[in-house]
Amino acid sequence: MSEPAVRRVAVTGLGAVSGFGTGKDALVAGIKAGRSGIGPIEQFDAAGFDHTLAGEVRGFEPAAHLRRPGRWGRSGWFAATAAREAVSDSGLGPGSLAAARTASSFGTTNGESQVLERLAEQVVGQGTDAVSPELAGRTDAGRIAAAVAAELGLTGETMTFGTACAAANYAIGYAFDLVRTGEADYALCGGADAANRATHAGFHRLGALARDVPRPFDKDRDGIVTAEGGVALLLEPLDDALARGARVYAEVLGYGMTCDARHMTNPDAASIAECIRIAQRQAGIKPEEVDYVCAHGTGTRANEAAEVAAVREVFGARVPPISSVKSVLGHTMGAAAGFGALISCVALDEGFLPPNATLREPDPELGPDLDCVPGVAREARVRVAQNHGFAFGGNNAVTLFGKVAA
Amino acid sequence: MTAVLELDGTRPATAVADITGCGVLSAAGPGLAALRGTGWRSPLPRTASDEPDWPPLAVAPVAGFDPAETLGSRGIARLSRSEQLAMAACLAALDATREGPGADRTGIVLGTSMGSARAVLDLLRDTFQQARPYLVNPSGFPSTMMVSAAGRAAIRTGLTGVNATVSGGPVAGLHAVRYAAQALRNGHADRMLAGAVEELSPEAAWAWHHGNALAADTPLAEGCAVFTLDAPGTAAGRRLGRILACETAFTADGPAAVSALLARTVRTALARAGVTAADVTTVVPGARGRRGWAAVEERALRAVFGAGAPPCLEIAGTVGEAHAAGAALQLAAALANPGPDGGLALLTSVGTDGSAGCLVVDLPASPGEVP
Amino acid sequence: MSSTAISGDLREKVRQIVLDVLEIDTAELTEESSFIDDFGADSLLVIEMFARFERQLGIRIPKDEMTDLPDLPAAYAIAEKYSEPSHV
Repeated sequence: MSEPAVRRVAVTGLGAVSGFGTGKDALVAGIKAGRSGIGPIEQFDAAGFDHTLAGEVRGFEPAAHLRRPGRWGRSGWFAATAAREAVSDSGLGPGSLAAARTASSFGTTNGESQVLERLAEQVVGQGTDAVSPELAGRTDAGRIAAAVAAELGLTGETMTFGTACAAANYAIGYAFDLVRTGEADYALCGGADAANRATHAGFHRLGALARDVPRPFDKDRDGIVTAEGGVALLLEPLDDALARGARVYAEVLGYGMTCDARHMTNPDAASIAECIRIAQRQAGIKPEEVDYVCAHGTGTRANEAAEVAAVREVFGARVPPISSVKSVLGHTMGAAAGFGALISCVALDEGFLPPNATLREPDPELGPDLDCVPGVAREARVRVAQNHGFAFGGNNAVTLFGKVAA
Repeated sequence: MTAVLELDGTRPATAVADITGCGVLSAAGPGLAALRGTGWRSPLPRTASDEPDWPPLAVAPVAGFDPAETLGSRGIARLSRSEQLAMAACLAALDATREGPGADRTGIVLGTSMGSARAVLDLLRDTFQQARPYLVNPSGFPSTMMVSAAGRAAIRTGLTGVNATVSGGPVAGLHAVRYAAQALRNGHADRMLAGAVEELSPEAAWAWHHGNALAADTPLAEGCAVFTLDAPGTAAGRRLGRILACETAFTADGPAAVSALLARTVRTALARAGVTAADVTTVVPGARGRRGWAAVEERALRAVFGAGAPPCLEIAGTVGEAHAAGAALQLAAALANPGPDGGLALLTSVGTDGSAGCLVVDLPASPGEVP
Repeated sequence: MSSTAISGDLREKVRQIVLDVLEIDTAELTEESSFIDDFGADSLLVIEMFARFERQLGIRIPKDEMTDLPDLPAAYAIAEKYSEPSHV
């Protein structure tokens, strides 16, 4: 195979379904104002749980956004709805995407978890033989990228990543490579997950759920809040985007991945640092060029300890402003790195630092001179943003976005 | 055969990856050797009549695999079947491969459907039945995530390169190969272990049974096949095959559209491989074990090959219908049956959701002893 | 039943849970054994021990207490503390 012909890749469309409702504008406004998208659990019966808050999408009506919502689960709804918005935001007609080689690349932690929950209810209530083949047929996580393709009439490659809480960064990175090398003309990419009983119970059991809200980087941070949502970015060759006069939010500069290969749940600072270095090398960016780090920042003691140690290892004395949108959204699992990517792109475009809204007192154990952007968004010139996603299984993925000179 | 397919020649402009090792666990038994020829090896599929939770359906578990012996007994009970199979197959693939790139430049990508159904359903069952819904087994929680098989395989093998999990029904193995090929091409890794895994569970078996979804004489199966993939021409030593093209696509417009799309995908793959339909010596169809879908695939193959279709390597009777592991096992079967003069195998795969994919692999003449 | 008998019964159950989670034989486990240094218990296994105490002993342990579990005496102490009538 000849060396890939390299094309620069632009982000020209954004879409989101989140705790702030449907639409990326609601999401961006909520994040900038430091409002909370977290509230009481409604997606499953929370009776008996000690922790009953989640970052859920409220009042979502799939039929208002999708052609055939009955075919997909809740994760598929979120991905397809966000993708539809990203297309509309890009100014490209859906017809031109359908006619081209358009890939659909989405990440998820738990796939169609609510479908699995209904299956479990059948089995528990009526016995193993009560499994409905129709429900079982909808459990495949690959249906998330498929839902996007189906709803938009795309016939290109679909790829669904199950790489847990870093999955959206894997999906964005893969889509970037496809467009960069000409394997695809366009790509829709991002992530989606649905609030569900299994994930909430699992993190609850691990003692990883916060008492009230997640407080990334705070000295009193005590865990995550489970959340859901879907997010999509439309990628196209930068030259094409400029030629058609598109709004270019950002350029995808590159990405990197590592695996800790040590422990299923404990993060590893050295491996994260290596992941950041690889991403920066692939993107051709020096540490001092990074203006903002969109942190994985879940709100657990272990995550931020490892993440800040890794960041300090790479950046040395000058750590860029670092914040986590999980402070207001909660942990949206497979969508999380996608929300980080989306807000990074808007931050580059509009010139602000997304806040770490729930921060009260920075954790002294994380060291001095850490600018976690407390409260609300702060105006700033951002030229390069670095977006983190780390996952169970020790999987790390970091994406880098840059401002395109007007 | 065209010059571009010359295995010992220079690197063809069109190749995707070289297969330099593999680890295979299937109902036919361990390794490629168990997949030689067609028809049943050992043992015969068991039927669920001997187990109360299972439907009256022929079921074919992986044969000749003792997880405790392969992986050690400590902690084995905390691993899902998918994790056990994936860890063992990755270890076997590495064992079968000559030394190459370092652990930090070697990655893993595994295809799956939704991970371990049993792990997820066990955890959910606890949330409904325990005194409090969060009184689940914490050690079982990581296994409920799709990421766990690839993550545990990395821990077991010490590979710190790219670690990815991709999902997509029967096509999952092709998604994994495509991901691996792109990772090699774009410099994210120098070597990838790529494959797919599927586990049996009574819940899934009931779904297949109620849906009457299996073709006649096809047992429901599980399995895992993992291949060591190197960038073309970069690895010394034995080569099991060279992947010349791997393409996937999607349509939401129903079975007829899937047929047309698969045909188009095959033509694209052949063109990208620099070969024609006439060069294909073996077809390995993927949908023979699924009622209805075999015809969809057949229609596409007729459109591509017309009357001159090459012989088909039938694997449904050998490894059963192994769903997400299907395409990976098709590739294993192709590698196990190269024929005395080698040849060019085409694998095809369709998913019920509208996915279609294919892979073109060039097989060397008489690879000798296969692992 | 005397409180000593309850305590002895509870201790045996705690000990069995520890043996099961660490996958070790009864002879290997002493009051002086370190779960981490001697048996390689990681954070997930420690949480599994707490989880089994809650499930199998029917007790409730506050989240803040579920951090360290170095050895058998610590396991006995926490199980006994939350098995007291005021905590049931």
